[in-house]
Amino acid sequence: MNWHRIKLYACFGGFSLALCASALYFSVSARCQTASCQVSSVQQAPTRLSEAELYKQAEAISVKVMSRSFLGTGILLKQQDSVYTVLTNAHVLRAGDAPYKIQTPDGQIYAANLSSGDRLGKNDLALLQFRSNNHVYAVASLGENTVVGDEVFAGGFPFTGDEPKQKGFVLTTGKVSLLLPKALEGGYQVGYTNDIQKGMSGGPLLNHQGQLVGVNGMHAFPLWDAPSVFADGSEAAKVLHEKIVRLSWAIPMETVRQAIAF
Amino acid sequence: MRLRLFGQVLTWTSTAIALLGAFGLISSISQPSYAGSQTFYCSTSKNIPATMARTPRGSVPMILWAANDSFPAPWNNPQRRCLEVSRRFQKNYENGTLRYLTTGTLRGQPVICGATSKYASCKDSTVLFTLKPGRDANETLQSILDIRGLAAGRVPIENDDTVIDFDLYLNNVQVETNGSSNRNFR
Repeated sequence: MNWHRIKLYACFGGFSLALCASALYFSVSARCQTASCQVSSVQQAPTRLSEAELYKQAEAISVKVMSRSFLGTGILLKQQDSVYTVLTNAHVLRAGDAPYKIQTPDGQIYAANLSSGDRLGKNDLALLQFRSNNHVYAVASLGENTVVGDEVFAGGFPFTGDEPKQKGFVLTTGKVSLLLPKALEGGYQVGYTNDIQKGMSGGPLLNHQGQLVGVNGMHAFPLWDAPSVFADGSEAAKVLHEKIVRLSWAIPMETVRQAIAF
Repeated sequence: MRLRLFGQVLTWTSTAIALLGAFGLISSISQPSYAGSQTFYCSTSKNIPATMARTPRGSVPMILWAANDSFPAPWNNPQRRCLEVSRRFQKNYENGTLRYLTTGTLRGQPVICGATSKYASCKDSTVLFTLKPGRDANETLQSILDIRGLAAGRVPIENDDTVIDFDLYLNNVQVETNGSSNRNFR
């Protein structure tokens, strides 16, 4: 209290009212941040993983989604008895026809059924289920939403048409660069600097703790320039659009949670 | 089956394809970068004609062209279709009509077109390709929109089952009546 009063005197003594107000704001917000930081550091700090550990974790929860050919990546999301639920993008499934197949990290291939997705809405998400009685797989640990500046790791199976064989699993490093207040078409809301190749759609976006914070789906620099459209049908202004096209985009965890009953 | 047909066509027009391929290479080298104007061109991916888009992230195959004997000559030659559709994408891009894609009907056939606004109708000058009658144009449109920015991994090759063929074929009436292919290529 006394400290605040001293500050106020200082303001009246020489600084403008605006400066005074901002000084007070910063002093208050700094205290809030410290308080919340103490809480969150207790929960999260111990589980910060090395890049090698992150790669291992990401690879363990990532599957290939296929029909007659490879279509994209999927995330092992849930296990109930012998039934596994895989999360991927709706557009990954649109790229091929049913019946779909899942190839797990151990190379096994399972027939997969489309799971009912009543709550998926217009989000670019889809659920597949497969049954495995003899093999046990890791499933994703779910994180919270990210903030701008967070280091994130994007996984998946890039597929380049010119190469005789598909590359294996890759994990790219980058940072969250832009969070849109309202989502783009398909629910894309998290813009990040990681490189996303064709084939990595449906793959996991992980935080430094190895928790799932989003689903990859849109690569930077679309094949041709066209307006960036929000889920509500409106278009992004030019300046924002030019930022959007330079980033890769994921559907955030919050949207995933809402779309899938947990 | 498709590949075998493709092989026959290849033998049949090998010289022409070599020439067209060389032309494609030359023109692709002289194309400007993303900052100036986006470029679409026909190249090959695993020896299959492919419409490619050049981006700052590299060239990305958009459509692979399978041989298909149900197309009227000369469009049963996949290289020919590849060149023509790539050219139409490029032309629409340069004219600013690739901002939106729409579906429509021209001469009784479903078409996919570029457009300057969501509500513009299809014109001859904006047609990207013509679909076989009865084909769902919206489904094809969705495929093209998905290819633009989304990162699915369906790239097309390996065997005949996986070759993308949008069942696209071009309205070749003008070409046949004029006895010249140049008109469509402008």
